[in-house]
Amino acid sequence: MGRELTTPADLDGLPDVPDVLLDAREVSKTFGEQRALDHVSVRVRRGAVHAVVGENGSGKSTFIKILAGYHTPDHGCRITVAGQELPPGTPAESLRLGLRFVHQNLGLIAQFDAADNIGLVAGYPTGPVGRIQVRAQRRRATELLARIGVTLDLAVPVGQLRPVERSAVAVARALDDRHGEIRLLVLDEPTAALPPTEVEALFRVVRDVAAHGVSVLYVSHRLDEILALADVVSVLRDGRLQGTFPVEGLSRDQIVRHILGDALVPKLSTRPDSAPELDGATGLSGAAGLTSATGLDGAAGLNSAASVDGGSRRTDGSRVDSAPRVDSDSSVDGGSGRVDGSRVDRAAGVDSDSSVDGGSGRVDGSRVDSASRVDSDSSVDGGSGRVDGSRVDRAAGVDGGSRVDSGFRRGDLVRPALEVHSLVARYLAGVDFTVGAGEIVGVAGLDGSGRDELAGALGGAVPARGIVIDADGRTLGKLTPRAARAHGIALVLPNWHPASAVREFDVRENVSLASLRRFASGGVVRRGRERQAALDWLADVDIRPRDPAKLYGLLSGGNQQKVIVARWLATRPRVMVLDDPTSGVDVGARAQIYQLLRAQAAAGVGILLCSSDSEDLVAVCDRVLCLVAGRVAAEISGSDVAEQAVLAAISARAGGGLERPTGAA
Amino acid sequence: MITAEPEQAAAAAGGRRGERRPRALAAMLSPRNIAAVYVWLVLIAIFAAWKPDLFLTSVTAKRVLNEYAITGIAALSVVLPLAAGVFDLSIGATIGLSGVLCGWLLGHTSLPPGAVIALALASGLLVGALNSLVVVAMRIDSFIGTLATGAIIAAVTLGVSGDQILTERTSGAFARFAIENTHGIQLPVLYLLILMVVIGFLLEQTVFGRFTHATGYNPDVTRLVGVGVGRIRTLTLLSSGVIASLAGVALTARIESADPSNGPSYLIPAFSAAFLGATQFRHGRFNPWGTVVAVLMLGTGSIGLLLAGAPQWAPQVFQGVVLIVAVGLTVIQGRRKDAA
Repeated sequence: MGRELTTPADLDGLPDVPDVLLDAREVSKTFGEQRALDHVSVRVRRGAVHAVVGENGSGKSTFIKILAGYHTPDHGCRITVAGQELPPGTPAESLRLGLRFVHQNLGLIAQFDAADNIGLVAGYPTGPVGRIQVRAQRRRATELLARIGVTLDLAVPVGQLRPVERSAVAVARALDDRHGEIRLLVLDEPTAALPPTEVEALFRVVRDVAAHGVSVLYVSHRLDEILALADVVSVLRDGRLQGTFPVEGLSRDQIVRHILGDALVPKLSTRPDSAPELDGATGLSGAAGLTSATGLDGAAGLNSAASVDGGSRRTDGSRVDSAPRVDSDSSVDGGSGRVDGSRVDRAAGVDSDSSVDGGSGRVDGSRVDSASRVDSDSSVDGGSGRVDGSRVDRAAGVDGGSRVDSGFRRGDLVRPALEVHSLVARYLAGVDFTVGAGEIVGVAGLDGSGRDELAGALGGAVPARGIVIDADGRTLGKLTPRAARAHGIALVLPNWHPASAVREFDVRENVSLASLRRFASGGVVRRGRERQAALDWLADVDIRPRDPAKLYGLLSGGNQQKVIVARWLATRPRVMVLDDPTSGVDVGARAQIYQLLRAQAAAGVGILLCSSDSEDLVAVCDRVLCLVAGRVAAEISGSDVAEQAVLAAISARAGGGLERPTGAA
Repeated sequence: MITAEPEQAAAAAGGRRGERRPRALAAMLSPRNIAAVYVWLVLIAIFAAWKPDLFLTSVTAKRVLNEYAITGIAALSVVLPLAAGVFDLSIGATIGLSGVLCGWLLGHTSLPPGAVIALALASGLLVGALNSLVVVAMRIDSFIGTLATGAIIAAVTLGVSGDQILTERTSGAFARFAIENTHGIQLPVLYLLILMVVIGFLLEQTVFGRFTHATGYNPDVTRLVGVGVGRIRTLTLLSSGVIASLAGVALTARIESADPSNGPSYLIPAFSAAFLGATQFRHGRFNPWGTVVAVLMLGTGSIGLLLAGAPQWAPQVFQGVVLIVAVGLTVIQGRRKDAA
C-alpha cells in the first residue's frame, strides 16, 4: 500500500491513489442513545463506482444523508470533496460541491412528465412574467436523458413509464449540471424497483456516468450487482465500517461474511437444538447446526443432510471429505455458512449434485431416484435433532426430501391446494396451473409479463376472470379479496407496495388486521389476546426487537416484510400467494423468509411465489412457471431450476428482455 | 381474558416493566400528546386572573358546557367518517334540516314531541344514506360529494321553513329535550358524554373501530384483507347523519325555535375540533376524547373573551388562532422528537 501518499488515516485499505474525490473521515452520528454511525471513514476515487453495502440499519442511509446535508454528523468528523471541506448539515453546500443524490423512492411526481420532474430540481427556464418556456425545458430534459443514453416520451407522465425509465429520469435529473460540476452521484438502492432484466440497462447508465469522470456511490442489497458493477466496496455493519475492498478478486461469500459478521455463528451453534449426536457423528456440526438454526433453507437443509449422510457412513475424516464440497460452494466456516446457505442452496439445486457425486454415490442416489428414499429418510432422521428445536428445521427436515425431484413428484400426487384455469386479466392471457399442497411453485417473468398481475388476480387485488379452485375443491365465485380470504388464499404483497400494510398502525395492529375477528368476542377486540398472538407471530417470523407497539412505518424493509407475512400466516391460509417478497429486504431477512416459506410448505400449505428476483425462485421453488406475454411459456422443475435457465425462459420471446413484451392486454 | 392482560404485558416487558411505566406516563402527559389540555388550563388561568369574579364561577362553567354541548355533538358527528377517511361536509346542512323539520312538524302536525324527534333523526339517517349513495356507491370524492349534498339539503331546509324562523310548539314539552337539567347542566351535555363514550368504545375497542381506522389510513390494504371498505364508510356516513340531526334537534329545542340559517355555522367549529382532537391523546388518530376537550377549550376561551368584554367577533378570531397554536405545538414537539 503506497503509504507515502497517505495522511494518517489509511483506514479503508484502499490502494492510495492521488485522485481521491470524496474523503470522509471519522464520521459518527448518534440518534438519542443509538449510535447509527461509529467513526466511519470512506474515500471515493474519482471516476470510481464505489459500492456501500450492509444490512438494513447498518448505517448506509445515515451516511448518505450526512453527505446530503440532511443529517448533521457528530463533532469530530471531516468530509472533503475534491479538497474542499463540506460543512456539516448544509444541503446547499453539498449541492455546490457537486454531490447529487438519487434516493430510493426517486422523488418523482408521478403525474408530471419527465421534463417537469427534471425541472423540479434544476429549475425551469422562464421568460417574461415568469412563464415557463416549455420548449426550452423539454430540450433540456431530452439533452440530459440523451447524456445517459436514454430516449423516452416526454409527453407521458412518469407514473406511466417503465420502472427503469423512471430511474433514468431520476438519474438524469441528478446529472443536471446547471448548478456546477457534478462530482459524485449517490444512488440509493437504485434497482429495488427494477426487474433483473432491466438492471443491466441501469448499469450501462452508471458505467457511462463513471466513464465521464463522475464518481458513483452505489448502495444496494444485491451483491451480484456490486460484483458486476463496482470497483470498490465498503461494508458497514452496526454503524461501523468493516472495511473497504477492491471488488476484483472478492467473492460474494466474503462480502456476505463481512456484512453479517461472524458474531452470529457461535451464538447459533450453541443453541440447544443443534443436535448433539449430529455433532459427534459427523464433525460437521458447525455447518449443519448452523444451517438448521438459521434456517437456511431446504437447500441448505439438504446440503447438511447430504453431508451428514456421507459423514455418518464413513464416520471418520468425513470432515475432510465433505468439507471441500461445502467449502467449494460456499466457503462455509461457521460464520458465513449461514448466509452462504442462501447462496449455496442455489448451488444445491444444481451444483451439489456433482459435488455430492464426488463425495458419495449413495447420497447422489438419494437425491435422484426414489429407491434411495430410505436413505434420504435416514439422513433426514439424522437431521431431525434439529427439527425439534426450531420451527424452521421442520421445514428443512422435510425439505430435504421435497426439494429434490422425487419430492416434487410427491407434490403432484398430493391433492392440489390451488387449481387455476384460464385466468385472464390485464397482461394475463389465460393461465393454467396447479399448486400442490406442500409445494412451492415459483412464477418468473419480466415486467409486463403478467407476473405481478397473477399474484394480484388470485388475491382479488387486480380485476380478473377465470376458474380458481381452492384446496377443498370448491370454486371461487368471483375473484375478490373476500372470496380469496374465505377460500384460504392469502396474498402477500411486497413491503414497498402501497397496499401492503397500514404504515400508521403499529406492528400489533398490522399483524392482526386480517384475523382480527379471532381476537374478538361480540365485536370487541380482546387486546390481551391480540397482543399475545402478535408477540407469538413476531417470534415465529423472528422480528427483532419483538415490540408489537412499534410503529410499522419505522421498521426496516425486512421487518416490514415479515410483518406482512405474519399477518397472512395468522389467517392460517391453505395457499399463500407472494408477490416479490424479498425486494428491498436484506440478506439475513431474505433467508428467514425463505425458511418461513419452507416451513409453511412442510405444513401442507401450497405456495405460489411470484418474484422478479430469480434468486428467490432458485432458492426455494420446486417448480417455476415462466411467464411470457401473459402465458406460461415454460415450466422448469426440480434440479433444473437455475438462474440462467429461468432468465433464458422468461426472456425467450421477449426480445432479450429490454423491450416491453407485447403481451395480451 | 381482560384480566389476563396486565399479566401478559408484564411477562412480555420483563424486567423493564419498572422503568416503562413512568416513561409511558410522561409520554402521555407530554405537550406533544395533550397540548390542547395545557392550552385549556392556561386559558382558564388567564381568565381567572383577568376576571376572577366573573369567570371563576359555576355559572360560567355551566354556560360553557351548555352552550358548547351542541357544538360538541356536531364535532363528534364527523369523528367516525374522518376516521374512515371520509369528509362529511353536509353536517351543517343536516343540523339545519333536522332542526327545521322539528319546527315544521310541530307547527303543521299534532305529532307528539317524541315522534317529531324520531322523524328528525330519521331525516339524518336519510341524509347519511344519500351521502353513502354519492360517496360509496357512485365513488365521488367525499369532499366534493358531501359539499354537493350539503347544498341540496340546505335548499330543502330553506324550502321546508319557507325562509322563516319556526317557533310554533317549539317550547314546552319539545324543548325539554334540551333544557331539562340537573343542577343547571342541561341534557345535551349528557348526550355529548354518552356519544363520546360510545364513539370511543367503537373506535378503540371493537373490530369495527379498528377496520374504520384501517380504512381511513389505507383503504387498499383494508380491502385486501377482506374487509368491506364500502360498508364501513356507509356506516360512518349514516352515523354522522344521525348524530348531526341529533345536534339539530337539540339546538331547536334549546333555543326553542327553528332557524334554517343556524346549522351551517356549526360546520367549521365541528371540523376544527375534530382535527384538533385528532392531535390529542391518540397520536394523530381521530378520537372523541380529544374532540370534546378541543370543544371545551374553544368554548372556555370564547365565553371568557365575551365575559371580559371583547367584541362579538373576537371568539371566532380566537378559535382560529387556538387551532393553529394547539396543532402547531404538537407539530413542533413531534419535529423535535424526530430530530433528537
